[in-house]
Amino acid sequence: MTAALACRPEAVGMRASISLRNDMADLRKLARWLADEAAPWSLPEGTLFALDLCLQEAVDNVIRHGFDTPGMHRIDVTLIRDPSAVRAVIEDEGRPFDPTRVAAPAANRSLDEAVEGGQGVALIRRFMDEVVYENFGGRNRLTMLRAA
Amino acid sequence: MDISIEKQTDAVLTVHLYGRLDAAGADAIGLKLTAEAATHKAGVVIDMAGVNFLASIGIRLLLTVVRAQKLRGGKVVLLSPQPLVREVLHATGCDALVAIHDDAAAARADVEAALAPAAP
Repeated sequence: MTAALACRPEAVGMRASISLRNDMADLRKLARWLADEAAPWSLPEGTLFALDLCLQEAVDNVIRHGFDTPGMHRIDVTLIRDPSAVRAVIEDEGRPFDPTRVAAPAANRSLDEAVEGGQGVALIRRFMDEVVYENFGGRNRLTMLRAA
Repeated sequence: MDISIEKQTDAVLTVHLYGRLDAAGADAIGLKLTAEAATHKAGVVIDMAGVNFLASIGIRLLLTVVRAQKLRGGKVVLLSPQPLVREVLHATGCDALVAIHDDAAAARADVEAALAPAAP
């Protein structure tokens, strides 16, 4: 009975994971992985776009700013499909960083200010329904939820 | 990501972009886009109809070209972004920094007007 249930992903929620390196080239791998894994889930176009966008922004941020020491670091990404929502969880052992506490960029920024960046966190806020940051045992965990 | 450039005149050009304007996309087209559209005064229409994904790094690339033309006395407008890409432009306040058109003729007229000498 238990084995039969475990064979039916819809009975236990659908889940997929990938480990990335702190290398910009792995952002492409992340996008391809998301497209492949989420394809059978029949998500609305807007939900898939939001997941793609927010994963790119959050992982880009970890790769660029997350690590003080050079060398290879691992970033784990997990996608969980529940009946009501999709959650994307990003875990890394980089510098503690809570994007939910970053002030949103001013709405009326000048061109010079906008060219400097800072839009990533604004996009995550806009395209996700809930964002939770936790840090325990030196690990960052960012959970982004979007209602399906 | 692909890019093609259509020169209407020496000073007016349309840049067609196709694909994902994410980190890899910006990397693929950044040099060509800035070389063609940001190094001399011009009216530039960036046709976004073929762009199906836009991340913040792509926004920064687009705004770099917008700023370069503003400094040179030229002008950049965006043409026909897809709905989700438009939402990204709106969420980041970019739609307040660069004009967005849905009609190619209107887009071209906008950049041409900006290049015209001011009335005495």
